[in-house]
Amino acid sequence: MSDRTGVVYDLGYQPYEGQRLGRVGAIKAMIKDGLRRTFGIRRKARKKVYPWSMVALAFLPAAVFVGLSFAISSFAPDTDSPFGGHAEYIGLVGTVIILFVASAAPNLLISDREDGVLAVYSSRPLTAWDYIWGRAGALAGVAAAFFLLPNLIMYVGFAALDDRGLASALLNNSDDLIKVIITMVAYVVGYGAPALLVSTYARRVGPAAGTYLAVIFISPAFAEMFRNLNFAGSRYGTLISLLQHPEVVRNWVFERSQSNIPMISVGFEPWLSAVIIGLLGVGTVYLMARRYRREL
Amino acid sequence: MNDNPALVADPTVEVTGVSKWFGQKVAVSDVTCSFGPGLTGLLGPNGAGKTTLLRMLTGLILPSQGEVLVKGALPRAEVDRFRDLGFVPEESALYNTLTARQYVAYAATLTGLDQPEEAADIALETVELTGDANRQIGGFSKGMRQRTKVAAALVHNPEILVLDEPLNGTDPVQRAHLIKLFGKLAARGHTLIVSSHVLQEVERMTDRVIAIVDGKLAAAGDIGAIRRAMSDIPYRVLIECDKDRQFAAALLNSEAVYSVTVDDSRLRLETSDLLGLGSLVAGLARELDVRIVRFAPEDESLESVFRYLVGGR
Repeated sequence: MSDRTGVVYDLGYQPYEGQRLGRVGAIKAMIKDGLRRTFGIRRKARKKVYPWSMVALAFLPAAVFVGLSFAISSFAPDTDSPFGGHAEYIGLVGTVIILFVASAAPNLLISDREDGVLAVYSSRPLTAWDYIWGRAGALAGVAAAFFLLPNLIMYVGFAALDDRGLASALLNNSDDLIKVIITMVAYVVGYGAPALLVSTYARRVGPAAGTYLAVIFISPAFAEMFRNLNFAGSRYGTLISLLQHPEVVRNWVFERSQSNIPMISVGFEPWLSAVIIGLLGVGTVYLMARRYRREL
Repeated sequence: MNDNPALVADPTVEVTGVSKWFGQKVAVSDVTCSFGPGLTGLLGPNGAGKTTLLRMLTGLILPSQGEVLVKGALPRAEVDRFRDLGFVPEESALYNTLTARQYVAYAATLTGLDQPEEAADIALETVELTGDANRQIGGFSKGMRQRTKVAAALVHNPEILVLDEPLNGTDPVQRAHLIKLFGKLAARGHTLIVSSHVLQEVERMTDRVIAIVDGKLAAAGDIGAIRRAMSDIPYRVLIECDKDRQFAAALLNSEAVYSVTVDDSRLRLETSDLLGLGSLVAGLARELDVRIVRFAPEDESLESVFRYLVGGR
C-alpha cells in the first residue's frame, strides 16, 4: 500500500539480470493466456458458464456411453448409442465447436482491440505474425481438444471393452484414430477460420458472434437454393455452405453417405471441400496479417 | 559536435525529417531530433502530436515520411530491438481481469524473460505496488494503473524507456517517487523519453526538453535557454479585481506594462517584468483601494507558453 502521509520510500532500482528466451516462449504465453480467457479462468462465474457448458456438452455423452458400456455388458455403442461411432459423434462435437468458437474468437481478438491492449504486444519483441499464431493457436488448441479428447475417451474406452484386449484393440482400431485426426483438422480450420475472420474486422463481441453463427447456419439454406436453381454455374453456389464442408470431409474420410449434401449431389468431388477449407484457412491468416500488421 | 539543441552527441533514438499524417490531418510535421542517455521531456499541449511521435519512436506506427532509428535500426525491421525498449502507452493497455503481478509477469514472458514472476516482483517493488500485487487491476485507481504500466515497461530492464504521460492520475507522493525513479534510471545511462503536457512536471525531471506544437518542433534544448530565448516575448498575467477600468488605467502608466485589456472585471496584462509587476499591483491596489481577487500568470499553462513560442517564430 502507498503511504499517503507524504513519505517517499527510496526502493532503488534493481534490474532483472536473468536469462532471456526467444519468441517461442512469448507465443506459448499468448496461447496460455488465450486458453485462460476462452474458459473464463480468473473471471466472474457468469463468464465461465458458457464455455464450461460447451465442455460438458462435448465430453459428457462420450463419458456416459463408455460408462454404460462398462456397466451394461449388452450395451453396444455403435447400435445402442444415438451417436454410434466416431463419425457420428463428430457431428455432435462439430456443433459444439461452432458454438464455442462463436464466443471464443471475438473474446480473444475484439477484446484486445476494445481494451487497447494491443500496445502490450506491439511494444514487445513480437511481430504481427506472432500475435496471430498466439491467438489462432489458442482457439485451434481448444477446438482440437473439444474434438479429439471425447473421441479419445471413446477410442480407449471401447478398446478396453474389446474381447481382443486393450492393446490389441487399440492397434487394430488405429485407423479410426487417424481418421479422427484428419477430420479434426477439417473441423477446426473449417469452423475456426471464419470465426477468426469475422472477429478480425468486427468491432463488437456480440455482433461478431451473431454474424458468424448466422453465416454458418444460414449458408446451407443458400446452398440448397442454388442446388434447385437451373442457370449456368448455379451449381457453384452450393459451395457456399460453410457448415457442410467439414461434414463432407468427415463423410469422405469415414466413407459415409454424402447424398443429402447439395454440393455433392450436383457433382462436386469431396476433395474440393478439403481444398476450400485449406483456402479458407490460408485466406484468413492472410487477411488477419494484413489487418494486424498495421497495428503490431 | 553539433550546435543544434534538438540533436544529442550520442543518440540512441534518432528522428530524421519525420512526418505523419492521417488522411487530411497532419499529426507530426517534419520533426528532426534525437534522444540519448538521460531523460528528455517531450512537451506539448494536448493534441500537439506527442503521442503520435512516441508511437513512431516505438515502431507502433510508421512515419508517412522520414525515418526513426532505434540504436541505429528501424524498430519495425528488427523486432528484437524491442528487447531494448520499454513503452508506457497513454491508453489503458491493461487486462482488468489479471492481478498486477500476473499482468507484469505476462509482459515479462512476452519479452522473453525465463523467470517472469521474479522479474515482475522486482518491477512491482520498484513502483511500490508490492502490497497490491495480487489484486485485480480492474479495481485499481488510475495512479495504480499507471504504476502497473510503468512496472510492465521496466520489467525487462530496457535501455530505452518511452513513457507517454506516465504521471497522469498519480498522487503527489507517487509522482515524486516516479520522478525520482526516472531520474535514477537516467543517471544509470538509460534513455528516457517522457511526454507531458504539464511543464512543471517536466521541469522537476529534466532540463532537456523537446517541445512540439501543432505537430512541429517548437523548441528544443535546455528549459532555461528556451526561456531566455523567449525573453523578448512579454509574459501574460490575469488580474481579477473591482474598479477594473480605474486600475487598468493606473497600471498602464507603468513602463513595465505593455498593454492591458479589460473584460468583465478581468484585466489581461502583458509585461516584461513579472516579479516587478507583483509589487506594482500590490502598491497600486493599496493606493487606489482596489480589491484584488486573483493574480495569476497565464504563462503557467503550457498552452500559453507555446502560443508565445509559435507566435515568436
